[in-house]
Amino acid sequence: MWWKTLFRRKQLEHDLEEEINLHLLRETQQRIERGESPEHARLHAHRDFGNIALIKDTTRDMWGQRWLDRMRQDVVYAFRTFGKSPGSTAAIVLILAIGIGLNTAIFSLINATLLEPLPYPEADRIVQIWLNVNTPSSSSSLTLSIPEITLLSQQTNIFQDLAAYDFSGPGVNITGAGEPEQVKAIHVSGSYFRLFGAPIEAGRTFSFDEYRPNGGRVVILSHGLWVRRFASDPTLVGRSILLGNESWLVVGIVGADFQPNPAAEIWFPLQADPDTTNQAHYLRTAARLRDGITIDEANARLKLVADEFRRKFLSFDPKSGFEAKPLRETTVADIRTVLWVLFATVTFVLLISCSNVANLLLARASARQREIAIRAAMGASRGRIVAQLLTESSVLSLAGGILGLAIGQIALRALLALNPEVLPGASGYGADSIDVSSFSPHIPLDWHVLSFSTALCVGTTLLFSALPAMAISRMNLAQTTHEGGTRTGIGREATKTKSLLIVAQTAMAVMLVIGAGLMIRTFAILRHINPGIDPHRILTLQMSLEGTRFKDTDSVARLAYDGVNRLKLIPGVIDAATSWMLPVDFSFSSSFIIDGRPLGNNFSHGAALMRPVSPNYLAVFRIPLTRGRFFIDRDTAKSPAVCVISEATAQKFWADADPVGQRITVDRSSDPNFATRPREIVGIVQDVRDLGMDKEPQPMIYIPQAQVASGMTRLSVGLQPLTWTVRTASDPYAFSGAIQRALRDASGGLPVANIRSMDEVVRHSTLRTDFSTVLLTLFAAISVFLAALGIYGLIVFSVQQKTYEIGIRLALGAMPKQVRNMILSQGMRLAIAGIFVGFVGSLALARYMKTLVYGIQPIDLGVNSVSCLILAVVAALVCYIPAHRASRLDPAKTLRSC
Amino acid sequence: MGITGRYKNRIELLQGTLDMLILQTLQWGPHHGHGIGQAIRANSGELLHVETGSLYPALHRLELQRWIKSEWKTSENNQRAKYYRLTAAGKKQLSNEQAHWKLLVKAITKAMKPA
Repeated sequence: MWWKTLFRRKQLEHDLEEEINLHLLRETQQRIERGESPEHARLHAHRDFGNIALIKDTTRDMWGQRWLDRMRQDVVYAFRTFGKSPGSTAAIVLILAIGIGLNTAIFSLINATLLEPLPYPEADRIVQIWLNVNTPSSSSSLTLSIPEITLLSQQTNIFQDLAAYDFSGPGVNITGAGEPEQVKAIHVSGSYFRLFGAPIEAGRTFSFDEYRPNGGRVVILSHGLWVRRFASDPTLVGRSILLGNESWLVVGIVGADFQPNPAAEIWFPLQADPDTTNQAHYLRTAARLRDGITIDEANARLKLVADEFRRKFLSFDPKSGFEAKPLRETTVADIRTVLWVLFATVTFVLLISCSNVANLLLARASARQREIAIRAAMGASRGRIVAQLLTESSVLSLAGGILGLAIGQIALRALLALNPEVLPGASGYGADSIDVSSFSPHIPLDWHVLSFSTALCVGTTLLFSALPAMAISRMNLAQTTHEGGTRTGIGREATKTKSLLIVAQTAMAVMLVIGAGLMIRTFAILRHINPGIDPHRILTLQMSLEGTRFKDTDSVARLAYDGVNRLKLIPGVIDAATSWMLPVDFSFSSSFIIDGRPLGNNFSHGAALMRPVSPNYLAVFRIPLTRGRFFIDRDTAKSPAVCVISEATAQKFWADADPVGQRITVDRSSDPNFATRPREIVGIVQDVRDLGMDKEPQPMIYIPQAQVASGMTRLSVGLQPLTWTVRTASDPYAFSGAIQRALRDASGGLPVANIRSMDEVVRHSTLRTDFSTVLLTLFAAISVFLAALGIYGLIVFSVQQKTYEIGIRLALGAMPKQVRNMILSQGMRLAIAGIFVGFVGSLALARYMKTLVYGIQPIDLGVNSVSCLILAVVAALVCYIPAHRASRLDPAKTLRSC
Repeated sequence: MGITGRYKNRIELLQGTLDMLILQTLQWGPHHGHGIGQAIRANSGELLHVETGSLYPALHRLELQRWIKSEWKTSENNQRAKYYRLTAAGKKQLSNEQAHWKLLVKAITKAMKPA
C-alpha cells in the first residue's frame, strides 16, 4: 500500500542510509584485504559507488508516491526560505491577501445578489410583466391594472401560474392583546403561493371563493409573525385575530424559509373584481413561462395581447406595450452596474497585487541566483527547480488565500455595515425601484465563493510565478556561479519584464483613481445639490390606514386635519403635514388634460408627477412659493377644486402662457369613483427633486388631499401608509415620543412605523452613490499604495544592482545630482508611460461609469488630469528616496565591498 | 563517448535484464546488496559490472513488486546487513523471465546469423 510507505518513510530513509554505509564499509574492507591502504580503499570504494545523493534519490523514486515526498520537501524548503526573508514574505502574503480578500468580498455580494438563484421553484422561468409607456419625452415601466391582468391571465399559451400582488406598502395594524403593531402585508391573487412555491406549514392557502370579491376576511400569516406575535399558538389556524380592530380568520401559516418579495408577514386575498374597468396601475404581475416558451417568444406574443387589449379599451395608449422581464432583472436592476464596476475595480487591484508580487519574486529570484545555480550544479534538474519555485509560490498564494478569505469576510461585514440598505436597495414603491430587501442581509460564505477564491488563488499563483520561473529556467548557470551573482541581474529580459509590470500596474492605478475621482465629484455634486426642500429638523412617520375605517377621502382628510392640529399643540413643533409620499423618495405620475386646449389624436396632454398633500406640506418642507397661493384648510371636497403646479410643469406645458387660473383635469376616468372635477391652478411653487437627488426635477402637480376622488384615496390607502411630516424647532427625534402619542390620540390608537428624519430620507436617496464612492476611493487608494510600493521596490532593487556602476561614476567625478537624476528619470519614465497608458485606458472604460456618475461626464478633463498628477507626484516621491540615497553613496566603500 | 577506460571490458546491461540477474542470484539464497553485485560480476566472468546507481533502485523496485523481501541480519563475520531473499512470486517471475530470455537469445542469435 502506497500510504504505508508514507508512514514508513522515516524507517525507509534510515534503512537506505545504513544499507549504503554498510555497502561502502564492506567494499573498503575487501579492498584492504586485497592489500590497498585504508585511505585508498575508502577513497576507491566511494568513487566506485558514485554520487551517493543521486543514487539515494533514484532509489527513493522506487518507493512510490514520490511526488508527495518531493512536495513535502519543497514545502519544507519553501518555509525555510521564507524564514530567511520574513519581511518580503509577509509583504507578499499581505499584498496577495488584500487582492484576494477584496475580490472575495465583492464576489460574495455579486453571488448573493446576481448569481445565486432566487429562492423559488424554477426561478429562472419566472418573469415579471410590466407596461411600457412611451411618451415623446420619456419612457417608463408601470405595474399593471386589473383589466390588464385579467387579460394576461387568459394567455395560458404563454404563461402559467400568473399571479398579481401589490406592494407591501401600507402594512397592517395588528391590534387586540398587546401593543398595536404595524406589519408588512400584501394582497395576492390566486396563483401566488403556487408560483413562488410557498410552503404551507399549517392550514391551507386561500380557496377559489376567498380570492373572489366579497370572499370574506381571511388571512395567512408568516411563520415569523406566528412565533413572535402569537407565541407559536398551535390552535391559531381556524381562529380569528384582530387587524385594524376588525376580526380576520387565520386560514394558514407559511413556512419559515419562504422569502417573499416584496417582504410581507401577512397575506390577504386580492379579491379583485375581474370585470372592473379600473385603470389604476398598482399591481405587480409575475408568471412562470410555459414550457418551451422563451422570453423573446413571450414578448412577441405579448404584442398581440396589447393589440387585443387596445381593441377592448380604447383609452389604451397605442405606444404602450407589455414586456416580460426575468424576475431577477427587475429585482436588482440598479445595483447590477455598481456591483460589476466594483468587481472590475477589485480585479484591477488583484492584478496590481499579482504584478507587485511577481516583481518581488523576481527580485528575490535574482538574489537567489547563486543558490539556484548551485542546486542545478549538484544535479537538480531544471524542472525540479521550477517545481520548487512553483511550490514556493503556491505556499505563498495559499497563505495569501487563507488570509484573504479572512480579510474578505471582514470586508464583507464592513460593506454590509457601511450600507446594509444599498444591496437590497431602497424598498420604494416604484415600478422600477429595487426591492430585494427580503434577499439581504445575510450574505453567506458558500461553496460558490469558496471555489471562486480557490480558483483565484490558483490563477494568482500562475500569474505571479510564471514570469520569475521562466526567467530562472533561462538563466545561464555557469556564468552565474562564476560571477558570484551579486552584481549581475537575472538578465536584461527580466528587467524588461519588471518594467512592463510597473507600467501595467501604474496604468491600472491611474484608471482606478480616475474612477474614484469621478465618483467623488458625483458625490460632491449630489451633496451640494439643492433638493428643493429644507430637509433639516423634520420627522417623518408612517401610519397604515388599512381597514374599513378609511375608505373615502373625507375620513382621511379629517384624520389629517385632526392630527396636524394636535401635533401643532406640542411645544417645539412648528408645523405638520400629511402626504402619501415623501419628497426625494418617490412619486406616482398621472396623465392630465388641459381644459380648452385641443387634444388632437392624443390620449392626454402629457403626464406629470401627482401628489395629494395636506395644506401645510409647503410650509413643512419650506418649498418656496413662486406665484399665487398654496392650499388652505378651506380647500375641501365641497369647495372649488384646485391644484398647484411646479415651475417645471409651468415651463413644460405653459411655455408661453400664464398657467395660473387655467384648469386641468387629472385622472380622467369613466369610473365615478375615480372621476374628479377640473381643477383650477392657483399657484406655482419651485421644483423639488421628487424622484431622488440624482434625478432632475420632473413636472409636479400638487392636489389637496381632501379633494381627491374617494376611489383614489382608497387605492392610496391600499398602496402605502399615510406619511406624517413634522417640522420641529430642534432635533426632530427629541419629539418622537410626543408626536407618536399625539398621532395615536388623533387616530384612535393606530401605531406608526418607519420613523426617520427627513435628513435620513435625503441621504437614503444618494445611498448608491455614497456606497460606490467610498468603495472606489478605498480601492483606488489601495491600488495607488501598491503601485507606489512596486515602483519603490523596483528602484531600490535597481540601485542595489547598480551600486558598483554608481560607485565608479561617482569615483570618476559624476555629481551626486547627476546620479540622482539618472535614477529618478529611470523610475519616472516608467511611471509616465504607465500614466499615459492608464489615461488612454480610462477613456476606453469611461462608458461603464456612465450610469454611476451624475452632473459630470464620464470623461472629465479635470478629474483625469488631477488623477494623473496624483500618480506622477506619488511616483516622483517614491523614486526620490532611493535616488537621493544612491547619490550619497561613498564610492570608496561601494567599490571595495563589491 | 559512453565507454570510458574504466568500462572498456565490460558490457552494458540490457534494459530489464538486471532484474532477472538479481532474481537469478538470489535463487541460491539470501544476499545483501554488495554481495549481489559481486556475485553477478563473478558469475559473468568479470564481464558484467553492476553500477550501484542501478543496483539499489532495482532492489527497492523488486521489493515493492514483492518479488524479493528484505530483512536485517548479522552476517557470518558478525556484520549487520540488509539481506534480500526470493519470494514465491519472485521465483515464478524468475522462471518467466528465464523462458523469455531464452526466447530472446534464440531470436537474436537467429537474426544475427548471416543469411
